[in-house]
Amino acid sequence: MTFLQIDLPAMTLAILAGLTAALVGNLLILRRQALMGDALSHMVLPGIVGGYVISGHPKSWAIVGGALLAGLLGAGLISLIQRLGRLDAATAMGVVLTTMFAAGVLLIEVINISGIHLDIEHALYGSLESVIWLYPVGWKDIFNPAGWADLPREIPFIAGTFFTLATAFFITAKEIRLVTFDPSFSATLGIPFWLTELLINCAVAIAVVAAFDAVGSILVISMLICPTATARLITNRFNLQIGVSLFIAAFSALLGYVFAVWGAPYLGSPGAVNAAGGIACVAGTILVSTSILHVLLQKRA
Amino acid sequence: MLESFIGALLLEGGYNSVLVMVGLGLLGAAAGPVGTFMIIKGRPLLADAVAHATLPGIAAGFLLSLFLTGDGRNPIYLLVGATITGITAAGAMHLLKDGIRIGEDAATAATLSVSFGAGVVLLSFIQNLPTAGQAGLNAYLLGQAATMTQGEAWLVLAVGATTLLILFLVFKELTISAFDPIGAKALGLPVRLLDLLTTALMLLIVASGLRAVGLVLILALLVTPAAAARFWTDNITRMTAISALLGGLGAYLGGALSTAISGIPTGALIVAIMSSVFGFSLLFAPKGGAIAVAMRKHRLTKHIQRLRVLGRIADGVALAELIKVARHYGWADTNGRPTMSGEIAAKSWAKEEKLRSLYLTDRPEEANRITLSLMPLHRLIPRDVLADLERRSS
Repeated sequence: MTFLQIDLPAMTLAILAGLTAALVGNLLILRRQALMGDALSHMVLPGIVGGYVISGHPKSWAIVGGALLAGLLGAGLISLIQRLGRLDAATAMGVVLTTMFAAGVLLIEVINISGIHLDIEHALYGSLESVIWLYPVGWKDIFNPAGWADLPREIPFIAGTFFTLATAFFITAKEIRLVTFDPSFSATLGIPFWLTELLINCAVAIAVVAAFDAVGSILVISMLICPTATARLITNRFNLQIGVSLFIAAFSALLGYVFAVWGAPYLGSPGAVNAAGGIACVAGTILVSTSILHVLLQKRA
Repeated sequence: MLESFIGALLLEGGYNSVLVMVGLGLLGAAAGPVGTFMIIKGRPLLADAVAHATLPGIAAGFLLSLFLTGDGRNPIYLLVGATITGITAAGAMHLLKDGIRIGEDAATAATLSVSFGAGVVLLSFIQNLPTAGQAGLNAYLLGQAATMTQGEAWLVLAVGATTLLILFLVFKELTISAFDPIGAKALGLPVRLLDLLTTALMLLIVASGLRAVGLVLILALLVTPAAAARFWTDNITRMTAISALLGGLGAYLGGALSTAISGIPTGALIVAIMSSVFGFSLLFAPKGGAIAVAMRKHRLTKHIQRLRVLGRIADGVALAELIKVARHYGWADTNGRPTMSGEIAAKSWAKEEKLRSLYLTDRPEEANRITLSLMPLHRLIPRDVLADLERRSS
């Protein structure tokens, strides 16, 4: 039963990662900060390597902490450089993201010299394929709590992140709408600009770090952006947009995985192809076809 | 290691590494100015999207070359593939952006990640194939200048030199159309063509630099020197020259380091050098650096405080909250009464003020230069003009 042990946990992880990223992506798209997702997913690298050096093994919580720290440090650096240098946000992001990513790469080289091995490709492409849940031998075992302790760390972590973020979203829905659509009015109500900025950066960093395990540092961007951008084309209503984006994210994750693992051999591949890449392709295809449909419908109207 | 680094710097590292370093230096020198124009146009991260989008092209080029020649590592196929998907991505981004409601930032991020995803899928497909040579593809991610062939090095060198030449020839036209597209159109310049030329040069630099710098970090070649140059000057000609210098030097040094320390990705080394230069410029540049700006601000605050104190003494008004400042300069005693030196300073301030206002009634067009300066009037205007003012005011 390799399906229960390999494919089911990987699919669950991919769907949860997609849901988490898409949830936060709604904020990024509406605030026109989509590139912050790009920057953050690069900037967490030195934190991940640092966490790995401290803890010594690749599935440790220190990695999550390090990544979060590096993400927030990078976001802080971006706004500092913007202010000190009177540069625009995109330029500051370009400088900081390349700097921090290069720092991560050099750090990897240094620790590889000292004998521990860490792959840069692993960080870029993700490790959906290496998620294994050995416990279940039959379908009944999935619901046996005794086996849950055996779950790969990534799944409870991302599930926890998703439900925490979703709850926070639900509770502060009114405030989120306010600061997103009318930041100056929310500033007069006493919600300072830097606080919203910090909280949103934190939420994105957490989502990026959590989803990172599943889909890798660059492909996380597609889950942040594509489902929400598609949802924006379909609806103007905020709540509906969030719902649609979550649905598209889960659907892309599922379809992408199925395509990469079971579809690729039909297309001439000797084995399965990278699932995270497949998911990004599906999400991109959905976005592009929706855009084309959107343009055609508008022309007719 | 140090010895081999110095040896490489002095171009003693053998024909191949000299070629790589000179090529990288030229490419960096060309990338700096192109990056400056990209920043002025407000699209600094377009290069990042294009760079990531070259991955599927590289993989497809590998497959095609494997299919046609039996060996996947023909750099021409990889380069052509990279250029094609890079252009496709730039076009797709343009369509998405103008596709009604997708903002430019979202279009960039979506293009970047999806095309990279497609590249990753193709790479994993290649890794499944029972052929050798796919390991060489990893060099395109983070750059491996030390293992470049002579042909690859010549290509970098040629692209760098050509781009520099083109920039030199149409520099004036590019500057005008980047800053003021409407005015440039009125002058009869082909604005769209020049815009396209900038993007094409960016694409050319990205595609040819991939092998040496890597697609994840090549953005730094375009953005970092250009951003650093802004701290040194406000003049666009000087700014592009400085970004060319910083870019060329950074890439050259990175190449030298990479030949000295084998195995470390060249892209990371170049970024480390360029980012250090950026950090230094951000803090210490005499014109726009953070320290210089803070000091100027401090001096201005002090100057305005002094003027307020002198104004109050001259008008005979109580100093109130300014007593501390006045005492600092010895212009008042503890009770806030002006001292002798305070009276003298106030008198000469009043005289200077009178001359200034007289001068400004004569020549109101000079208002900005005179009122914004901290210098005394005799440093700002010719001596005979000042003498004339003094004669008329007395």
